[in-house]
Amino acid sequence: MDALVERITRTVAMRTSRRGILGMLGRVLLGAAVLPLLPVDRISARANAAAADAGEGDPLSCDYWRYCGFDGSLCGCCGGSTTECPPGTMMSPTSWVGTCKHPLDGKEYIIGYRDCCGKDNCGRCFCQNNKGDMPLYRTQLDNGVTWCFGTSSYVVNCTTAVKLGLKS
Amino acid sequence: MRIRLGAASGIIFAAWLVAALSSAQAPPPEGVRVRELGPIGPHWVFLVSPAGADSELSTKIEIVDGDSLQLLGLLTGGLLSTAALSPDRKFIYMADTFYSRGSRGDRTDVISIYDARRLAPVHEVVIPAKRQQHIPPDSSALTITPDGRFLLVANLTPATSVTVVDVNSNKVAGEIDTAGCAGIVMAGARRFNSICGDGALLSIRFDDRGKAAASRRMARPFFDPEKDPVFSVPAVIGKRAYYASYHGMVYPVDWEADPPIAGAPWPMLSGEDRKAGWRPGGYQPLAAYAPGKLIYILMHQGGEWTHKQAGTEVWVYNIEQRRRVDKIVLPRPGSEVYVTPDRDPRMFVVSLPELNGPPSAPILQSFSTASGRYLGALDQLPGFPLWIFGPARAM
Repeated sequence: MDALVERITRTVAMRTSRRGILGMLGRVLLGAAVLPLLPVDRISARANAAAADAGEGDPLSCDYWRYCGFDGSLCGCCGGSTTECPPGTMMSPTSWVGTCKHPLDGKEYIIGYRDCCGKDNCGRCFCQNNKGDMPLYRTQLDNGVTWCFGTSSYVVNCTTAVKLGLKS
Repeated sequence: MRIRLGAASGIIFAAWLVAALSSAQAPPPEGVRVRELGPIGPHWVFLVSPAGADSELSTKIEIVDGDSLQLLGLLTGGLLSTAALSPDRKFIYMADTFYSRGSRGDRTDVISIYDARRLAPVHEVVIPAKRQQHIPPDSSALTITPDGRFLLVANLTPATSVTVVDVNSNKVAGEIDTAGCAGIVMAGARRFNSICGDGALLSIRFDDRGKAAASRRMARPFFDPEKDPVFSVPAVIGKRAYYASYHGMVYPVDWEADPPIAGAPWPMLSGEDRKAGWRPGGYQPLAAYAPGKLIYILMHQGGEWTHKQAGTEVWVYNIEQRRRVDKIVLPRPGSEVYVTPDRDPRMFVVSLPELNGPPSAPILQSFSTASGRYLGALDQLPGFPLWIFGPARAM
């Protein structure tokens, strides 16, 4: 498990540079400037609808399959979505991880719970599911840690749940 | 006629005015003041609320007289603060994190030192800005040496280390690397133990310059984190520490041996208990009562990974006899348990509102440990207290 977690963390760390995140945020902001009438909540609603369409369940519910190790406010209730941070926050390049079973294909996926940092806690749709949660001596599995490492503020606004890959 | 009446009323008014003025001088001035506290009593408790429903920017510490169940006062700190008392009970230390612009800007981490009677800040020590940010807070994130000279602050970047603060000179003395291991639990005058990821303990001796003098690690893990993780803070009784696990085992450790030596684990649950789904849980599920050789643990009925669920009962074990000696049914399920260390002990339990349940304020419940009798509660606790500690904090 240690080796697995380490590999995932490294992969995530390698693939996700601060610049990459800024670039992504830049694109979102550019989109907002070009289409000022397209509100962000419609974008996240679309993402949420896509997930629901696939029969995966409701991403705004604590029971949604990706949230098996979740702890915090759902970003989908706070101006973001399962995979997007709300405007003006910073998505942490680091996260704690959980292993959740997909309801349709029955496979176990590694989920990265990436905090959106830099604004005070949203407080809506607070969910706490603790599958796989361990104390600090297994830091990577501890959902009580503020996972804002690599951002400029440890104030957490909400938390996303990003598919990192299949459990091998 | 009208004029006469006017004159008469004028005379009456003047008489009233004289009377009113003279009576205004009569009452003594109101005795306004800001209260000060007496010395910290054995049944006082400190409740740490790292976050409210809509803000986590300022941690509250609520000071409660556990006998009268009155709120005595409040300290406000920074982001996810932790706290400790000086051994002489004269000072309260908080490890705080602040940003210069609220949730953004320059980060400053600081030890804030409060006079325990006036609850007023008297000193501060700026520390490296990498203090561990964790919910719930617990005693393993900020610890004081038994002589009160050094504070040990847990760092997480996410690499782990410990900042040593000299309270005599109000200066940072040094930093100790604890790579791969987390938490600080004192095991001697200048020695602490941390749990490592593989389930072994790391013992670190340090000197008065705040530097590690010796570091020894258990040859083998004392539990298997893959199969049965332990809650991170043990009950320390005498020369031994007792860790409770997610699956209801007790793992004793010879705490003073360097490195510590694992004892033989024993079960808290009978086959019947297990069948009924009982297991430990909560944010602070374990408390010690050293004089009675007792440990207290919050229990609930639930499935795998319900280790943070509130307990409906507190089960009490004698650690020498390795058996349950009492069971206290809680009027309201609780998430944190603490037992006072004196000869007339109380058990305190914090109950939080149910997640996504109807809005309600947390309460502090009080019990006599001798009889298990419920003694009452303090309601409307501010914030969301996730950790409770008291004057002789072994936990």
